[in-house]
Amino acid sequence: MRFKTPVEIYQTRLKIIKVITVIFFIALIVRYWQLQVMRGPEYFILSEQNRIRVTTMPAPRGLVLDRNGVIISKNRPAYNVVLYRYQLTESIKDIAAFLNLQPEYIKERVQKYSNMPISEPVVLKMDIPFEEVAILEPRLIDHTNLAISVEPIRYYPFGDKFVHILGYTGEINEAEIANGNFPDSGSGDLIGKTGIERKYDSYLRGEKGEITDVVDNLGRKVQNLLTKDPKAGKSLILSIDAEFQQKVYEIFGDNVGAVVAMKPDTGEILAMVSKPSYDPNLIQGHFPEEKWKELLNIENDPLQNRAIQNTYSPGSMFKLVIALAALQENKIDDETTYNCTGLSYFYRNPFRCNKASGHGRMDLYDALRLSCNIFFYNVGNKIGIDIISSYAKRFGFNFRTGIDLVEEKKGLIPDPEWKKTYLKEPWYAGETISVTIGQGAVQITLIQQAAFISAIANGGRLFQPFITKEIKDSDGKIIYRTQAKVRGLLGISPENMEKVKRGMWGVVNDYGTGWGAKIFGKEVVGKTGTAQVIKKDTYGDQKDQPWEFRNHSWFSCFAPLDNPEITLVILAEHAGDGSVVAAPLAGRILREYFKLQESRAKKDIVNEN
Amino acid sequence: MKIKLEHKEFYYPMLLMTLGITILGIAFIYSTTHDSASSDLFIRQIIWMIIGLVLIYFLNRIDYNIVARYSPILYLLILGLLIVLVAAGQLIGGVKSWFYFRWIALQPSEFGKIVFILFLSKYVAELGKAQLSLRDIIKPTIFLILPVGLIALQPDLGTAATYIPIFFGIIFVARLRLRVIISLILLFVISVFFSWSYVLKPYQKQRITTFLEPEKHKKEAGYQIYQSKIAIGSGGIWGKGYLKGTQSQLKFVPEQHTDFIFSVLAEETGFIGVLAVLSLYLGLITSFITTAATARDKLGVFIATGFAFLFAFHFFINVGMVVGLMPTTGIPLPLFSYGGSSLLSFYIGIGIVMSIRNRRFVYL
Repeated sequence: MRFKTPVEIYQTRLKIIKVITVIFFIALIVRYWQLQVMRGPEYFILSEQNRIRVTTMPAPRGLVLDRNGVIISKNRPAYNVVLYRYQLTESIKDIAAFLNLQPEYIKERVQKYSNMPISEPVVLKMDIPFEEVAILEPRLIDHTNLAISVEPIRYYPFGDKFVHILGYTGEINEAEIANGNFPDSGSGDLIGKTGIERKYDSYLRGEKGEITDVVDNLGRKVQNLLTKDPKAGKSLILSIDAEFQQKVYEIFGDNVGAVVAMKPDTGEILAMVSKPSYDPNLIQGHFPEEKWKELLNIENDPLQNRAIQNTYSPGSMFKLVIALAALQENKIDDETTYNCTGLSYFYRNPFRCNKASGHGRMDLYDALRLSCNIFFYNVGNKIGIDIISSYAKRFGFNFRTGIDLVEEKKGLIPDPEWKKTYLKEPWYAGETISVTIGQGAVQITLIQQAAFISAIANGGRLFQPFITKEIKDSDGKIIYRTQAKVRGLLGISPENMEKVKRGMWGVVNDYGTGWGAKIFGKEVVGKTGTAQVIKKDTYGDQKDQPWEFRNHSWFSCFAPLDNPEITLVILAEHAGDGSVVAAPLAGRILREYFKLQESRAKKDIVNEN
Repeated sequence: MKIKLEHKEFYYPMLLMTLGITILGIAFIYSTTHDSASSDLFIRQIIWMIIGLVLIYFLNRIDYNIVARYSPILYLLILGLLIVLVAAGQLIGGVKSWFYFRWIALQPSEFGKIVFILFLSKYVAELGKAQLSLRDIIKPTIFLILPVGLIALQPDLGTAATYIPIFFGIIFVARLRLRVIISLILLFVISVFFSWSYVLKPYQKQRITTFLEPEKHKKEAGYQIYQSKIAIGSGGIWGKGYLKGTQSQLKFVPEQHTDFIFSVLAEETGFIGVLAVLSLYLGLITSFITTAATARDKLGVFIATGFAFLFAFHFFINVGMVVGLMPTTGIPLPLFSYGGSSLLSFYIGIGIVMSIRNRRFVYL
């Protein structure tokens, strides 16, 4: 039995409310089901990213040492002011005011690194002095997005003396990120830009460390989860003799050009100097732009390593190629002579000798000794361009030597086929005449010449030059040792080789053009070269010419004759005749070299006793 | 035939659900504040709960008709306090909502809700009509606008808005004519457009646009909702465990011991915990409506209905807000969020509803 109550009339509407309430609940449950059950895993990842911040620690690069263990490239700490970009607690303007920078500059920096992971900080101020660190550090508590980070950067104790060998490091740029040559480096990382630093970047780089922190919503560290220490890069032991390299650098003075010293029986580079030079310590780290501009403004492109990255006409040094080719082809012998009157006509063109009055009757020995052009014009004309170019190529010209540096040039040995392909013109016989004295289109590098002279010294083996002898891991264990590698053989009989060597001996020791390289106690064997920069009809005094039109001065040699220890190639741009500048420089450098060897030998004896 | 009830008895299911939600709330207030400067907030909430239980004990025994008798005076008192606040209140966090007495802060607008329920219910019950016409709701509308206007001047639009469902709940159940309801809905829609164009301040508009497109405002105002959704979603089915919610413990979730406390619960206890707590709320809200349906007199029907609307409105807005279904407003989760005035006013309401339940008709 049921009573009709006074509130009976309200039941319908209360029922409606109940139904609506239940519908609302179902809607809520569906919504929470969606978020927590269906999309739960997705949100879980988001929440993990929220709380974990991975900071990378750069690894110190490996050391670079010379053959005697002298450190020539190492690291020092640089203090950078960095900006953590997420959840900025203050405006760019305030940060700029605090750091005394322009707001536009900060925006530019942030923009530049927009594709770097958000957890990675952007460097705003690079390598600040320690006094500034002391001032900034305590005030950073109010600037939670800023931090001072310590980053190991390169320090080159010998400044500008090794830069063309070592290269330098700098921030990876967009092109380098894109080309995939640096797979383990990302935006903001320092990488080797050139030289050994570039060539061996993957060894020197090491492995970055990682700090994984739990952070709160302001990016403040709450707890450290995991710290993976950075692993230092591997060390390189170079074949360079640092002490000798410095001597060469000093002796070469203010000349523009390069010097290469090599061990003839292995291909190890003992010294490699290119001038003008520059101090890589000035362009370390993240903001080299302004310094770059300064550098580029210096005349004569100091960035270029002239020993491998520039090509020159070999001048008379090329007569060695002609002599060896002609002897081996049996086109000349000891009896072959030509009369030099200072001028000869070939194909109705006049070709001059370096001595206007003429050398008189010349055989191979005298022609090499005095660098007689007329003799070699005739010899070259006799053997022809195809033989010349095939021998020159066999001697390693026209190809990169494969030295462990970057951007090596390969030079050029011209022949009719090359001319047809590239210049779409036929070969003129007169050009062969120019080629015999290393002019015309012939272009070589110092390193090619050094390998060639070494092959003459060692009996015909053409070595691949190298600078890096060993790679050691951080425990000091040798993981790689460069083996001397024979690239090819000259293919010249010992008798013929002897004849050319004798001529080269005469150059230095028998009142030849290279007399300036003569030193006491060691027999130096070499050949001068004078490369004409522009074609001239008259042989006026070089001193009257503007500097940039003067001849390049060449000298290449090895010493001593019997048991060669060193090959030396010198080029001084626009310095004049090879005999006047390059040969005397070679003499001074060789004297220093042997002095150094002697003093070391004495020291060893003392130590043994 | 009427059965005499023992008025001193408690309606235990309602009491236990109330206590259950409050204690869970305290547990999560602890979870969100234990490592902060205000780590004693959960103790304060326990004290408020005990005071609330004492109030329930007395209100349960007193006939709600007697309580309602004082409602006009209380209504005027609240209006007076609100005028004082607007005229001379202390500006805290941009609003003048609180009176400070030593260590406690009281919010008249919170207690005003209960007073408004009693006052409006009494008025409508005394009209004695089987159906309400448009003319019958003129005075109730004025009773509504007075406190709502004053609270909106504080300015605390969120709290002001909570008075509106009370009004509509009561006049709906009191059988407002259908055509009036339809015209009111039309009027509401028009006034929303009007206030969007002329009344709302930019930050208030921003809250609403944020609600409509949270992803777009991810880094700005939508950040709170975005982080709250990450917290809730990342809780998954089983949750990350009590005190182990990374979003909450690392303070990614905003306002987490007050408005966003449900996100913390969802992160740490997962969908299972959410279901359990939602069930408690569903049980409580249905028990309020059932109380209305079985009340002895009209006054009881209206008071229980008004309170059910107040409670449900808070609940749906808050739980909908943290998942982005509702706009961001400063509306706390009833019985769960930290806040003395809010907790006490809900306990008072529940005490009165229990008193109605105690004096119900029993159908045999």
